[in-house]
Amino acid sequence: MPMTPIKLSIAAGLVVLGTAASAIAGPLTDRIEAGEPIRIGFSNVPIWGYPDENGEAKGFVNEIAIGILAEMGITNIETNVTDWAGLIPGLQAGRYDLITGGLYILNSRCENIAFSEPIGSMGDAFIVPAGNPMGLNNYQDVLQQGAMLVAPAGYNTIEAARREGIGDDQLMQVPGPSEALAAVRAGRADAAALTYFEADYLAEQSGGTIDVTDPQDLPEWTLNWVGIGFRFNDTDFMEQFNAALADYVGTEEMLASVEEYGFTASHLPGDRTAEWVCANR
Amino acid sequence: MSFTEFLLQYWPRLLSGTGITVAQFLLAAVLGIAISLVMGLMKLSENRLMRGTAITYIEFFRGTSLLVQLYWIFFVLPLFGITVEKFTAGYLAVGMNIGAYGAELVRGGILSVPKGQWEAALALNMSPAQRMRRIILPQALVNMLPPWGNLMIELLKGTALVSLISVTDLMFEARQINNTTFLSAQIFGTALIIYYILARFMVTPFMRWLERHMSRKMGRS
Repeated sequence: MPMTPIKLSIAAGLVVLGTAASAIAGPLTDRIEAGEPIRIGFSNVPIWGYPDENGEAKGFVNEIAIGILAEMGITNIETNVTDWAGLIPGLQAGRYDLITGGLYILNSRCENIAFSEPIGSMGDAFIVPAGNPMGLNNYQDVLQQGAMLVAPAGYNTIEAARREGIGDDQLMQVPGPSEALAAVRAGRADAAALTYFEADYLAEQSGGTIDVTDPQDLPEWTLNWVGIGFRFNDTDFMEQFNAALADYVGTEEMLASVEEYGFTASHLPGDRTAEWVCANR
Repeated sequence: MSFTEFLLQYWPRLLSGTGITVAQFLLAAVLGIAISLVMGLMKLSENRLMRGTAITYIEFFRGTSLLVQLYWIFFVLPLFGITVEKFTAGYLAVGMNIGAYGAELVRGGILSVPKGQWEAALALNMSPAQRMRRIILPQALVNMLPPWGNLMIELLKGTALVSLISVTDLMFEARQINNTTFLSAQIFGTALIIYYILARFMVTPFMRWLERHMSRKMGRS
């Protein structure tokens, strides 16, 4: 929305109300100086970011984020698990300081939060019943066959499906990936659109009842970049974070820490900047 | 995985989740009862300001969904500078919501006390506060206990919603376990049973005991 003077002053007023006193250091820097832990927010998405039995942060985005923070000398971290769709609102409400979650850098999200430089790039895939009975490999197949596609609320795959012309009558939204799997298993949906990592993991866990489609079958613009989310007023911290990120991502240490999740050198982000991705996704 | 294996593996998490649920329930119940009493009495007041405040409160908290109120307290209030920790936000929202429903029960209970009691208290020169505290409220309490039992069970089920603002209650643990193991039948079946046990063997006997106790005190049993 265009920032007329009135809206700008209201927005500024809200920002002032909601943040700490200092106008230069963001709230996160203040928290660190006060010795309080950094709160990482994530959901329960297999491979990307999830809590283990003891509530520890697992998943490759968490590992990379914690690795970068360790590079910066920060080890006082508190993990918070929440609903995936509550990550960005929670960050904006100051419930978390950075959100891993497993968030792709998308234009619609860039309008609400700031993203670090990309830490990886990967594509999407569908999960379908074993043997792919309806032959659904991409969004056009779903559209033409009148099939029901399910995806977790807020996922990039929903935007992608809408962009390909799939209407609400063919799109089911659920809270998270496990509900999407349950929908496909119960026959309530013919395919679930997830990220390739999740789809592969769920297919493996299913014991042969679920197949994953080839991510190459989906359009080229579904290749996305992963970033870590910050509030707009924490950009001072984010700059330091990005500097450490540049040193950490791609090193042997980093690749070793995420190897168990299937993240390899082929998933490294290359030279893309967050700015470019915000504009082109 | 068989049901017993499942229970043996996950009982600590389920137990801790149940503990948080019970804590939320008790805190929300205390808050709800306090608010109900205050708002119920305010709504019966002659003073227009008090009546108006009570009506506004009741209409707002009864008329909007508990989930929306929870999300509002959790996500929106911080933007206005009021940040409440999530456990507190949980029982605050549920308690305030239940308080609105309870206020109507309190009002109904008080109005159901026979007019003669009010007049007798007046004839005995009791002050309004004495009349309310010693004569009217005890009798009103006996009348309003059965529907309060209903409301307490509603409250117990309402606490399940706090899992959506990541309070680690029973529903939260159940969903986390489901997300990692996909054993939906076992985990949600267990959660169902636990809620039933809490309602049937914790809330209901207590309310029944309270009803019997109050009837005895009123000389009506």
